[in-house]
Amino acid sequence: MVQRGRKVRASIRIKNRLEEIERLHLFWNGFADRTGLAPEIRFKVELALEEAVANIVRYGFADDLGHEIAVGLELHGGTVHIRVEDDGRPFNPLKAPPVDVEQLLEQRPIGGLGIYLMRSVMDGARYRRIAGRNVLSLTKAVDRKE
Amino acid sequence: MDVNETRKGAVMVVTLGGRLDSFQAEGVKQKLLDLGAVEKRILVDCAGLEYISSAGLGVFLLMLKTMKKKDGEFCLCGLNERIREVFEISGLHKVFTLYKSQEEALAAAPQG
Repeated sequence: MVQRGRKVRASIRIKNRLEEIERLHLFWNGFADRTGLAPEIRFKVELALEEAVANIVRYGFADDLGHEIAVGLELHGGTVHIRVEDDGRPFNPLKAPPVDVEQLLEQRPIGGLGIYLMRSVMDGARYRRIAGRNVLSLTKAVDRKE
Repeated sequence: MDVNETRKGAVMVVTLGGRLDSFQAEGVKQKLLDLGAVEKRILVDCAGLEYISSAGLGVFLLMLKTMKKKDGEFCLCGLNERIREVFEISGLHKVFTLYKSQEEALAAAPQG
């Protein structure tokens, strides 16, 4: 059962290393357990969360230094809100070139699907550059039958 | 992430269990590429796979391209409903040969 009427919040800071994705999944699953999200919602938001963060870890930083990516979750009014913030170079994932999902194998690039999947499984997405930081907000209604 | 290999006639069956995410994908890629270097037909059984992200799809795409290039085969089976949906969103259900089960896939494989 999704808890109604009150806000549930959680946040985590992820280092810009791929092994941190495991910690992100644990964090998400803890939140999903606590709020009793339906399995389909759980899977889709988890996918979007990974794609958003993995993309930043892989391509977000021009240097080789350690950086932190701040991830905030909030369940409120039947919607999961995700906020992902990083101090990497300005990058608006919502302006990424569209993926042609009808392409045949020969033309298919190996990468590039992540952002497309992230957008496809979520209901809303918004990007802002605030005080030298990329801020990506994603939303997903949790009550609707998928 | 569990990766197990079993030979079934001319087909090398690789069983995946757990979660194929951005971190796990690299290890699975190496394992499959090593197998791809010596095998002609590879079937990946995803029945035990609970989660996949684009990194995992990328590994499968790379393997399909690698095997096709050497006239080999790379097929998948046992995708659960949610993973199948990720394939459909990506249009990859039309790119891969997907079987319901290992039995169905092996029955469809040419003998020899």
